[in-house]
Amino acid sequence: MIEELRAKIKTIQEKALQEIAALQNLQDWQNTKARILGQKGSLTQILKTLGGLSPAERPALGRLVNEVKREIERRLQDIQKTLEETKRRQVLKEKAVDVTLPGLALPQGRRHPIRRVMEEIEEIFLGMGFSIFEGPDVETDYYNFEALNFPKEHPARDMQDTFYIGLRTLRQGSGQATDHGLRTKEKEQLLLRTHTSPVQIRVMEKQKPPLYMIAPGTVYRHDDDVTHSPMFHQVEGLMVDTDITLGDLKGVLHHFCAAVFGTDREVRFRPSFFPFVEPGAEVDISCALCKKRGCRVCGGSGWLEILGAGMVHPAVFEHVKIDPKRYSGFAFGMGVERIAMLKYGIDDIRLFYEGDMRFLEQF
Amino acid sequence: MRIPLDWLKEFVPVRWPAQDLAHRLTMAGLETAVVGGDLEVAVTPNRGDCLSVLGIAREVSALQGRVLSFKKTTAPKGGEAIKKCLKVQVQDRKGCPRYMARLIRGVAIKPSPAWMQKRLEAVGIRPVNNVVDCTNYLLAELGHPHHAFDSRFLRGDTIVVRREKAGTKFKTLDGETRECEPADLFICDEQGPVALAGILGGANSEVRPDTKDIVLEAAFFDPQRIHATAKRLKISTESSYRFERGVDPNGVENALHRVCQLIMQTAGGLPSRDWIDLYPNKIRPKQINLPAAEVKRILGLPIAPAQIKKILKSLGIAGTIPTWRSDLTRPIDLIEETARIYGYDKIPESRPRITVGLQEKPKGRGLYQAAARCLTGLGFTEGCHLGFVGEREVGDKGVALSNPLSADQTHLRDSLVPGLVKSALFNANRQVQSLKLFEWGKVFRWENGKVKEDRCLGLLAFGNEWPSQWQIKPKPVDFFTLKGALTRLFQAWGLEPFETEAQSQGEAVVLWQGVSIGRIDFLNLEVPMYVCEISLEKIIKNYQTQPAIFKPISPFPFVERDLALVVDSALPAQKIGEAIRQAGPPWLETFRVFDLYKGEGIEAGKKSIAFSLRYASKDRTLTNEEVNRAHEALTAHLEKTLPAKLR
Ligand SMILES: [Zn+2]
Repeated sequence: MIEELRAKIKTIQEKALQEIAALQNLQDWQNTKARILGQKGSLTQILKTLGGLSPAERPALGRLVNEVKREIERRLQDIQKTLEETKRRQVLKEKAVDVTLPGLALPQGRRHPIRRVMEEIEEIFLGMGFSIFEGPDVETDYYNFEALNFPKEHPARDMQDTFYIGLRTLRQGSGQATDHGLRTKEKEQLLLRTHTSPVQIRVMEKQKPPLYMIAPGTVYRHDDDVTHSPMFHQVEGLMVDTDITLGDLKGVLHHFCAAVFGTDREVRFRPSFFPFVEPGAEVDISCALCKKRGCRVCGGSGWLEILGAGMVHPAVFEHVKIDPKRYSGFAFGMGVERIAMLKYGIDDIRLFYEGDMRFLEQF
Repeated sequence: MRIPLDWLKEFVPVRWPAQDLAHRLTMAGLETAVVGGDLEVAVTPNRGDCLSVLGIAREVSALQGRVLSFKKTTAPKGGEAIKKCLKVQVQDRKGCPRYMARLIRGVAIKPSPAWMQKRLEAVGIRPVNNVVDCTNYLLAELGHPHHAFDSRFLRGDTIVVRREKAGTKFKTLDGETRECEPADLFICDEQGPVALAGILGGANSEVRPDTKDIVLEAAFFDPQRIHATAKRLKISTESSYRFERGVDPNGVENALHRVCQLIMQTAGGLPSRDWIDLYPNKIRPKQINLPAAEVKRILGLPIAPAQIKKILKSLGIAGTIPTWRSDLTRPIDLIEETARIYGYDKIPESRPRITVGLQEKPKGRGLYQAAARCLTGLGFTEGCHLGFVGEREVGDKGVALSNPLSADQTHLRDSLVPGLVKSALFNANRQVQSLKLFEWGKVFRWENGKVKEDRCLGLLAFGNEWPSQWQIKPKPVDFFTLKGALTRLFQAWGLEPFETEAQSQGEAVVLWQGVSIGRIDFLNLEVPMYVCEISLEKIIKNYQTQPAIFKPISPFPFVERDLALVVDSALPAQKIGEAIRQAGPPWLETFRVFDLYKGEGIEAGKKSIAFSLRYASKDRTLTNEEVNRAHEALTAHLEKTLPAKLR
């Protein structure tokens, strides 16, 4: 009886293991597991017959059945892993895509290079503690020239050829002139600012030092060629406090040049003339293309002009009622287009304003 | 200005090779290049004294550490007394502080000698004849312009320096007839003008091949007056260029003797024994006091008083300022002189200490930056267009320029649209099929006698919504492209939403806080496009960065119900929305349009519009029954009041 049972258990075991080894999918696995180990499974049936055995024989056979059961369970578990992996691969295979196809093309607009460079300049000066101020594009002679120490009828004014606003215009069609309701005292000659320097006057009229500011904005000059546009952009800067020196001007502007063009560029300061500063300076950076040997880009000099600067002229301080004996300061100005042209290697200023996408998409 | 090296060396020994010299001059404020072995110097407008070989020689000498020694010309001896044949009256003393004249009889007009022609050509002046060439030679050498009249053509024996009546016409020797204004200064004979003072001689008195007797003029004219006239008449001559930058009033006499000497050398003739010199108020050298402490305060570097003195002395400044340096008027000018000869490169760089405070930024800056981020993210590329437009592109408050560059740039723009459209067409003509652009900029209009500057935002779109690609079908842009972009932008700005209202012309006006701030339009051009322009002034003015206030997250689920209504075609969605909001339960959280349909199955003149409504309570889980009840009540209400039919 016992031997018979042992043989029977052995047969069940062998058959079960064979079946398990032959399993192909998870559905069959589920069915097979139920058939072998379930309530009506062959092993469960055997266990039920153990009741008829003597107490001496029961433990040994019980152990045997349990061992067989554990082995079957282990095999089932192993094959389950294999089957699941197979299934996962199959699913992947069914959903396979050509991974070399392009991704979803979401539209992306570009910033204008001028605005991008302008913001870069602003960030550098904000980082150094400067504030940002703005002013009107349509200015008066006083703010654009007189308060900035441009004497009347001085050739210095010709450096900045000016657009003037017509105070009377012809109404379209009617042929009638209108003066737009100007009162006599307002009939001051209006002009388009030739630099953003008027902003320093407007700010200094209202705020007393210390003053660390930049004034970015649009400026206009009566000029039109490959390197000059009748409209362009400038960032003007001003630093006024007690004990500000030409050495400070050099330190701050060198810092700025390194931030925009990299620390490997040399910077030089040489005397120049702008009526609202004295001593005046022109700031050059070494030409990256020729490494100061001279080339077409730098006009053979090895250097590129990028900034005008200087110590605030006492006459300017006097105009805004700041005591030039107590305070000193420096001012500087740069053309944003020029910096962008040098930075990106652009050779025609007109490209900035045409809106050509083949140009704009490069930035 | 071209300075031949050999000419320069007649005035000053030069220690350095040309390249080196050019570099030193550049670093002293005279930007100089070597061209064909000579110096090409760019002289800034404040340095009229450098517009001659002598002027540059003074600089070179100073850079070499010593003041230039300059030998004056002895006056050539002559024959008859000048008062017998010539008188001068200066009626406008302010315009002409000094006037000198001398007569030379019996000159022989012919080409000037080769050496002189060569030098004139080297400095870019065309040789004419010996007399004219001598005056030009001297102009290049000493910086003093002269004029030679043919004395035959001077009517009467008196020269008068004066103004003329407005509208006086005068033919200058370039053949042009100039119309004059009362401020213009003239050299006249007894019958009228013979030269436009300091600018250009008259055609009526110029030296000709058969000229025998000449009157030589040397003068100092008021720089401002010369500038005003030359600028208005758009004439720039070698003479006016120097007079308007200031010549040395006390160098006039030496210059006259030198030119007289040159003429006698090259054209022969005998000068008058003496000469006329009307210089009633002599301009004397000024004194400027420069404390050494000021030098340190401005430059940041202490320079020893002895060294400052030495530098200034090398420039001819020893106690007083030489009269050729009219640009030096106050201590700061001497600080600059000291610094530029000392060398800017020797002044050490320093970093200023600043007083920490809250930095100020313009109010619109944050809005602009947020807009740029938002719109580029939506596929709009930023444009930057010239602010000038033609007359037809502005309204009747357009701001005109009195001196436009060209006929299509006569006005300042009063809208961003023309610039955006030009860009769009530029690209469309270059095979671009789809484009989205934005621009942030000012527009200009006359308002109450002032030019009002208004910051605006412009949007433009044509073609398709997104790049053509394998996964998604193309969708053409439309009105809702721009409205959607604007909606996103207002969200990005954290502003209350705007509204749109249909217009009889164009598409829609944009309303914000009940006021029109702009419009969205369809432009039926060669390439159909949509444009939007809004004024930002009201937004910038009312904008306050308010922190978002956190609202607790509801633990209760929401329930969604759809609602498809058939309504009159003309009934705006906004009206239906308002009705839903009004009649819905307080726990109607949000709703949105998810479908719009016209056509088959829908009666003509009607449309089917479908909303998805989201119900959610903040304090409990809604039951299906109460949602259904509310939704049905809402539907019934809309059917009756709109009216509408449930689809
Ligand atoms: Zn180079």
